[in-house]
Amino acid sequence: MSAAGSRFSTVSTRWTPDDVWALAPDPSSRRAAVATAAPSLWSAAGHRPAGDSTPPVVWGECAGSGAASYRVVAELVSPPDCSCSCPSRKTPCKHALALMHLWAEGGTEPGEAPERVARWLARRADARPGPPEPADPRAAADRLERREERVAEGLVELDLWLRDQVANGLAASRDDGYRRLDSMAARLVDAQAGRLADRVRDLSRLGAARDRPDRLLSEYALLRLLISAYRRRDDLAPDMRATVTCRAGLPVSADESAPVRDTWRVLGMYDFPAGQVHGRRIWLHGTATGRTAALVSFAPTGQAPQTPVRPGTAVEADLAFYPAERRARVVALHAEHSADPPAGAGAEEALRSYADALAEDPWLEAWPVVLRHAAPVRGDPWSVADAGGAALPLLPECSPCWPLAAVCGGEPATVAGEWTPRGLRPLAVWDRRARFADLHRPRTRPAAR
Amino acid sequence: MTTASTPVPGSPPPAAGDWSDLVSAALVGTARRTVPAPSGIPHLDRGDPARTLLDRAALAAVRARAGRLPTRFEPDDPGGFEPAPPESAPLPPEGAARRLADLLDEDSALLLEWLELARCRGVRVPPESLPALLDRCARDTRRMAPALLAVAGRRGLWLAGFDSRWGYLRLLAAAAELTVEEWRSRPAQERHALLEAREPRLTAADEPLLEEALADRSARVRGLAMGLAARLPESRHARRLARCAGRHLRRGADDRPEIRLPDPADPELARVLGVEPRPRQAGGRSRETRLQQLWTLISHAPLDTWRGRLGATPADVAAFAAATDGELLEALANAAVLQRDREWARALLPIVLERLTGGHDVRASRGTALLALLPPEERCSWALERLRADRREPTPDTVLPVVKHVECAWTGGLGEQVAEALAGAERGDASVVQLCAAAGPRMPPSLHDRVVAGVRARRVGERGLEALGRLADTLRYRSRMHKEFR
Repeated sequence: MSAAGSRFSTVSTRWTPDDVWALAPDPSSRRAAVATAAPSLWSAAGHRPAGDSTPPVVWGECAGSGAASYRVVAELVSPPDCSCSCPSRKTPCKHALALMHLWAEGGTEPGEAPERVARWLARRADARPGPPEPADPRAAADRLERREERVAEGLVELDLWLRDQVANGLAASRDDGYRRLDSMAARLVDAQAGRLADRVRDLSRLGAARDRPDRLLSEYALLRLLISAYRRRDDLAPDMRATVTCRAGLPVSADESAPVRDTWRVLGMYDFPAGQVHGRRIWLHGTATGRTAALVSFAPTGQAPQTPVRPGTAVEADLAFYPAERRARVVALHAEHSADPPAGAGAEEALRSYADALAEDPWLEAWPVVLRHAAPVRGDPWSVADAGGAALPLLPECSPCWPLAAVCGGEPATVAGEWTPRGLRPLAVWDRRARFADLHRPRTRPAAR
Repeated sequence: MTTASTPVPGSPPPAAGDWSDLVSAALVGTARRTVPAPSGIPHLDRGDPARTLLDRAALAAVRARAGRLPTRFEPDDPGGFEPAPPESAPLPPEGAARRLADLLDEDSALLLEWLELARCRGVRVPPESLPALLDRCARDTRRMAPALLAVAGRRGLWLAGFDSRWGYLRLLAAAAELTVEEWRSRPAQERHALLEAREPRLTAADEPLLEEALADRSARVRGLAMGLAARLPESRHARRLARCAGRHLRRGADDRPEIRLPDPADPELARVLGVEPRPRQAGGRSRETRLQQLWTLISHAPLDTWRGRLGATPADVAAFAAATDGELLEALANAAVLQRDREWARALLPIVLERLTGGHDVRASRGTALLALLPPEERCSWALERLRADRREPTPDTVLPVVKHVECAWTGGLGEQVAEALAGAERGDASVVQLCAAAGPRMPPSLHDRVVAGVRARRVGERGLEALGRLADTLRYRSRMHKEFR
């Protein structure tokens, strides 16, 4: 973990009440927090302003329903570290949210941290992982090897299972398909290949979709490709090996030794289900390096995934990249600006960049594209056409995309989205006057016509 | 792995036929079907047919994904969007725009206030929020659509043209320009919607349309037209109504209402009420039914029919009705609401509400609807006067029965009175809870501190305290919402 100072530098200065509410893990805790944010319920609410190398800290006591009052403290890093004496299992709980909200509205007194807060800060400093642990590297390597072996065993089983499905016919598996998929997924969980388990379990969501046989065969074939690649992983080039082990669900960590500094444009954000948790990916594009980065974070149900940057902006930041999948994490955030629309490209060029990315990672599910001079076109499904009339169809579940049509107003715009094997998922748009609009917020849409 | 230079319309993935062969074989199973050998990919053989099929499918699938071509869009494609007309109104500040998105996500009751604020500042709805807003307002067009129309901008009207569920907005905008011929050509449901949309701006120029609607094929349209026609006292229909009503009710020699029960066979009565005349001998022509027809007639007849006939002024007429016949008073109140007549509402209001607080059924009364006819300031000063007339110290119990009828933004003066009553509240949670609920969306948000003081005083019970806390939060939320527009 990096020094605390670099983690919050811009975050602390720009918190608005809305930024606080954005941390709410779900609408109900947000509503509860709104009710708890009444200054009348709080006593001894104070904060220690940010120092050169210390983030702001805010504390207070909130009257509970009975005689008890809850003691809350939060360190305002991104995401905030909160502690509250209430029994809620949500993070942040309504008390922490309400307290941060009071602070964002200027409702807390600046001052020295009281003793209990100082103690908490000290405990946390102790608990924070220090410089690289002098742990036994041999033991770690052994652990990883054992895990690789277990995953390999799981994959042997998956291979046999896939073989049976195709030998007996996908049509035969239709009736008890869910049960079979789920039990296979459970066995993969046992083999510590959780990510593959999610991928298998997701297939049971296909239901009776019209393209179910197509998608089942593509998925099974790509799983089989992964199994073959995993088996030969030690013969693969390092990048491909990393991709394969990563896709199989082995743990990886970001390379913090050489962070990449750039002005990163934040193209768009998408929330997706991932097994028992939910995930959020934010696509970045480096203006100088030309690199694509995906900030991926996961949170258990009831907690908000990390959102260190906001779509539509450009951030000066250091990113540490993971060995595969363009995944990165923010090591230091130096500044955030409003930004012009990204340059973008035509539909053909967008697909070409996807093809190139596919060569590095055939299991790629989503790839960021930015279409220049693009306009939505109604149809089944809708599509987005560039100036030359080349068009990318939207994902069936994203069509129709009325907010996109409303923002464009019949004029060409710059559209950012994720290209997937089944079509484009629009995420954000810059209209003809370069005004940014986020399309990610889940909105009600009129029924398909 | 690069795309071909000339995209093909429809752009099937490369070797689509080969891929579907693989899918068919996989569906039936390799135990019963030989493994297809798609062209253009290596014919791998793993010894086991199922694995061979899967490996060939993997190659075919990745090739299809990598070789995917754009579809073609021709400029004359009917799916394209014509440019929207240029906008003149500015967009709201970013904070206000985000707030709107939140209000829509949460389906908040404060949405209408946001729209009103936007209208006052002369800003328009950010386009990305228009679809959700159009959806939301479609659920309650009567209340929401006029506010929406003022802030939807040209972009909103443009967008509403693409989905029939949003047609109400265009109807509302277009209602003023529609001719009788165009109207006639629409289906009954649209005729009804159109007429309804026209309601807030009804003028004498609408008489031809109303005449047409009064003879409409659809009973629903006729019923609506009846109510609207009553709002144009100079129209021919209104004059017919007045004549007919005058024949059935007058002030008798004994200073009591003299009623002649309507005759269901009377062709003129049937005509003005938009019903079929019925032969006298048919069953079910009870006194009750005929009386019902009389009240319908009175509700629709122009109120000025009774000026000079039941009393010299509206106030005299109201007093006469109150003194002699409760049902007549209700019918007159109904007429004032139906005809949106402010002058008569003012005359009827004190009497109707007097009876209300005297233990009559609140829900059945037209009191709130009458009050709603007055401009907001007048409503508030009316309530203030009533509160002042009450010599008792203001408490939630005394204030609630008056202010709950004032369903608009409260003036500072009225808000102060309510805040004072809340600050002085002791126990009596039921009224506190209800008063807080009424005050949430209506009280000026600047009174937030007064409410917080009430929470701190902790003189009311648990539920009352909760309600006060909620009220403080609502006021703070609204105060922020107001500030965001600056």
